Amino acid sequence: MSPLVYLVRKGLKNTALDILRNPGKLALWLIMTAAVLLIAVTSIFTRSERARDAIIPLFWFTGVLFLFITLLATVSVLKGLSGGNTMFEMNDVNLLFNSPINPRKILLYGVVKMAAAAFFAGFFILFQTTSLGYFGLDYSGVLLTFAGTILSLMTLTVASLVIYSETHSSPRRKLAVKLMASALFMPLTASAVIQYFTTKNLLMTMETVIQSPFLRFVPVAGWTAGGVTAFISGHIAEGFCWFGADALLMCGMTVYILLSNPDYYENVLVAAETAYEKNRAAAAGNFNSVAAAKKRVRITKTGIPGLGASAIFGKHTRESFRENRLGFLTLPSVLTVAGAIIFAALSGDILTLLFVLPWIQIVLIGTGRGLKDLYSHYIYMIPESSFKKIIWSNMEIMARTLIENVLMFVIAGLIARADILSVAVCVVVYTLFSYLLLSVNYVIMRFTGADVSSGALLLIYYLAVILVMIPGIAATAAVSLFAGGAAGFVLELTVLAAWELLAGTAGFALSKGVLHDCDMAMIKINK
Amino acid sequence: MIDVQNVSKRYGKFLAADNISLTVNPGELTVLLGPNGAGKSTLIKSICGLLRYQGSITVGGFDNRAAEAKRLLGYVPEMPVLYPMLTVCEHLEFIAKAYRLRDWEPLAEELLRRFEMWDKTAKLGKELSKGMQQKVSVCCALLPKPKAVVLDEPLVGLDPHGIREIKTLIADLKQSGCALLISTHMIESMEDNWDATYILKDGQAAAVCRRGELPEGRTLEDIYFAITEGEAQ
Repeated sequence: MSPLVYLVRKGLKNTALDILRNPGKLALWLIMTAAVLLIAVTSIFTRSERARDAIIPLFWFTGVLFLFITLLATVSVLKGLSGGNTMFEMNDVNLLFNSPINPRKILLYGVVKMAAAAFFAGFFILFQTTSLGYFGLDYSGVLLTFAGTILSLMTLTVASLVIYSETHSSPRRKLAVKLMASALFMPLTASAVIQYFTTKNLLMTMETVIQSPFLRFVPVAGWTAGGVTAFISGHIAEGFCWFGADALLMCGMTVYILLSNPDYYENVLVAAETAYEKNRAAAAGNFNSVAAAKKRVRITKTGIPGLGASAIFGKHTRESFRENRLGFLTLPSVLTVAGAIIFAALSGDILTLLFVLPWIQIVLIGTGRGLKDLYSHYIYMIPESSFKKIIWSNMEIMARTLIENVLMFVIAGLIARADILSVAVCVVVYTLFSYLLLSVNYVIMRFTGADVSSGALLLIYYLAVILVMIPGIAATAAVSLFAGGAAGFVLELTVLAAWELLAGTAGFALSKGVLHDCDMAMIKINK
Repeated sequence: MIDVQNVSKRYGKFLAADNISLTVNPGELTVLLGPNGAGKSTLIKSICGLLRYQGSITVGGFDNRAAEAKRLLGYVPEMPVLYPMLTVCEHLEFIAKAYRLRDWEPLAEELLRRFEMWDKTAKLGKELSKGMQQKVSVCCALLPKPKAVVLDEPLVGLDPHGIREIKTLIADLKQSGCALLISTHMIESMEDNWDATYILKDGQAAAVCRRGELPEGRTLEDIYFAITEGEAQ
């Protein structure tokens, strides 16, 4: 048996055994599988209702998918220009690269592994049935989006490797790649500019550009977006053409590496080592170091304001303003705000926004510096009360959330012509939801002692958030039965906000002393 | 100064520390020796209040989770963890502000000069090599003038100058009456200064050696290998 086939077979078998022997992992897999199946079944039975609920035309979906893949492509090109993409791990580098196995076979093994990684990376799309439903997509549409994303991820990983191997020692070639990558978008940009100056209407310009062939001819992003849209619209042959273009590009680049550069080990080494160091640093609580290593920072102001526990907020403020020009706002913040405003413009109301945004906030709350600080020893060792440390260490994410919410709902409210009171209550509800999410994090930490795997922790967190929100949503629904109109809307959301405040405060009270009586949080990569 | 009584720590079914007791007095250097997975880091993290445990740990007579104990304790982790977006100087300022220290600047300068980091005060955490990060980590731990210092593998990743400075610093701290607990794999590195050595194996304190009480003709290394590799004692 080929050693590589043996490796894949044994890897799969041992992974399966590991899941079966670990109750936490098994539960996670079972729940994930059940959730995917449930969503699929529900989606089939509610197809007609979903078609009725479709409030955004399908071409906007093409635009969103195009932007998403473009974002992935930008990351891949930048990775290719810096250190290549992670097709191999350090165990492959240390054991396989030294073995007398044909490097070409090893590369194919890498492609197979990468396909598996892409499959899991795109898995979150399967849970976007509700969001994609607004565009009129049923579950087959979600599956097609999932397939298109996997195909794109695989193509982009190989592209990243090709870019690295062809440019790593030549600044001129790097510049050429940047120019070429920009040139691919030139026809699209030019058509958008011409269209805008002709119509003077931004929405109409976007609509025309998204539906134009210029978008579909952009490699990978345009092909995938065009392919998925074609399949959903019933143009099967066209869909196969666009997906085929992606597959052909990926195969062509793989063959190019195989034929032109069998000695590619050096090219993948940097990426493998970087990923390995990143994991190691993350496990030690230093998970920002590698991620931020390449970015150049200009130091203007220095110093840490605050005293005692408030120095933690002083530190966070200094870090935030040094890392981002927009201070507390990060790139995901800006993207969320922009996305929310576009969504409100398309849907025409701000209430829908309130249903979609919490799912994003559940994930983004983890990007707060306070929660990140739990992975290093400083916060535990500062001689201040645990409560004060928790409060001050989460000021940054609360400030960020408040700024985001004000921007989102005020602009979206203006576009949707909502009244001031509705906008204000939306800001309060969404800000207090972040407060609640933070408290849920600490309660879980208090009762698990932070001694559970990352996967299980995430699962407990999601379930806890859903359970805690049920009474608040039920109370809101009860109020909606006897209160109608704009005043009723404000009253319903006020009830929800009150529940969030109450539950969040109870959570913080329950997590009293948590920093002095728990295991320091760790990224449990192998657990 | 550091008093550990019957401390046990479990990770699920795995018993990482099994009923360990140890005491480190002021001006004493206690070394933790043991193979990988013996429980050294678990014990150290428990002492620093970074893990939950069964048993009792006090620092200067205070429960190690109390703010008073935290004020007395300095900790240098095995893997230095710095904030990528703070400069070297700001790391020390952050510690000074968080610990409410007064007139901390002269000591900060002294520590940074000692570790040849004075010319790098404006460098960001992410711009430092692992060795430099370790030096800043040591400076942060010592800035609050702790009465007890816990160091987990402090020499790993340091250049020869750094190693020499850490050794001298350890000797100075000991001289000044500081209680020191150091975990290391390098038996010979602490040869000059150790007072007591706990050899850990499978989460238990398999042996306690005190300077001057070693059997005639036997070194610490002999005892270590006899215990960890099961040779005749």
